[in-house]
Amino acid sequence: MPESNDEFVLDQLIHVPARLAIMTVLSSVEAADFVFLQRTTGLTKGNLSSHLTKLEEAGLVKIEKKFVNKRPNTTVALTPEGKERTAAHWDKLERLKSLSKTPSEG
Amino acid sequence: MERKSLESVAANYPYLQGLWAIPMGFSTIIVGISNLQRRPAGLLLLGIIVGGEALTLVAYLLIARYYRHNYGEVTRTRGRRLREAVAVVAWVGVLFVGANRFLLWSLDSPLCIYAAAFALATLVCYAILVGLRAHHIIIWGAVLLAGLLPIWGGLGVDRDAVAMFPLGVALIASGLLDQRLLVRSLRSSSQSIDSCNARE
Repeated sequence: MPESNDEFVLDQLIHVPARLAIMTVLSSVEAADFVFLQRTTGLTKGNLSSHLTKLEEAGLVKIEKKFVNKRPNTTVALTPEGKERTAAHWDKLERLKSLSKTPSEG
Repeated sequence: MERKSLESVAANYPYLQGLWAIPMGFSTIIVGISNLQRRPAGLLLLGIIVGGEALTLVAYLLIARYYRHNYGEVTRTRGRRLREAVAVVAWVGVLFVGANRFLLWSLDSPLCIYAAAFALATLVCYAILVGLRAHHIIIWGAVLLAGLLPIWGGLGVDRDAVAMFPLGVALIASGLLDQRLLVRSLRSSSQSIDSCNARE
């Protein structure tokens, strides 16, 4: 039995599939640009923008906007808190998954 | 949604940009032509080298733009950059040290140690960077075996220059299949998110 219920409370901000995907993609690189995130998540520009704004407001990602060859370029990176919360979220999901596979004791 | 597949799509992205291998393969073939003993002479050779390298340069610029605009860019982690350095050292080590010093590179040999070492070095490099996939093993394994078959004896001093032709073709084929893998992995990652959204 789990010691406390908090152990299995999911982070609602990250648990949204699109946001979890963004955070997971970012966790395996130093930073990624907007185009790459759009490619990997399949989100529309508006949708991705709105998810990124929410994550930035929560302090989970850092967004940098600049111009590269006169074209706007948006780079996104996880903050240390973002890294920690993404890893913790996946750990919880994996523990829940393994619990659901464990046969119930008589 | 799979954690591992999402992480690997982003982490492997710089190494599965297979279109880079097309100009690299053509460059290898041009090096082969220019090193032949019975190569085209004078202006024709100059035209092949200068024209070929100019086309290669243009191709590199177009490919860089294509990836930047269509797939975006990532900044690799320090761990990944370290792994790249290890892969480069391993590639150079296997190709030059291995082939020259320990495998007895000899002009009289009926084998093509250069082609075999190139294939082995490339396999090691792929194994370190992205993990070996079926197409890497098939293409580079075939080149490795071809290099170790005693069929190269009649070529004499042209042996290594001739070997550049299959090496160039192998680079292009392997790169095109890397590109296909990249497109498929990006498509499957976005589809897995779509299906999660649909279930929500």
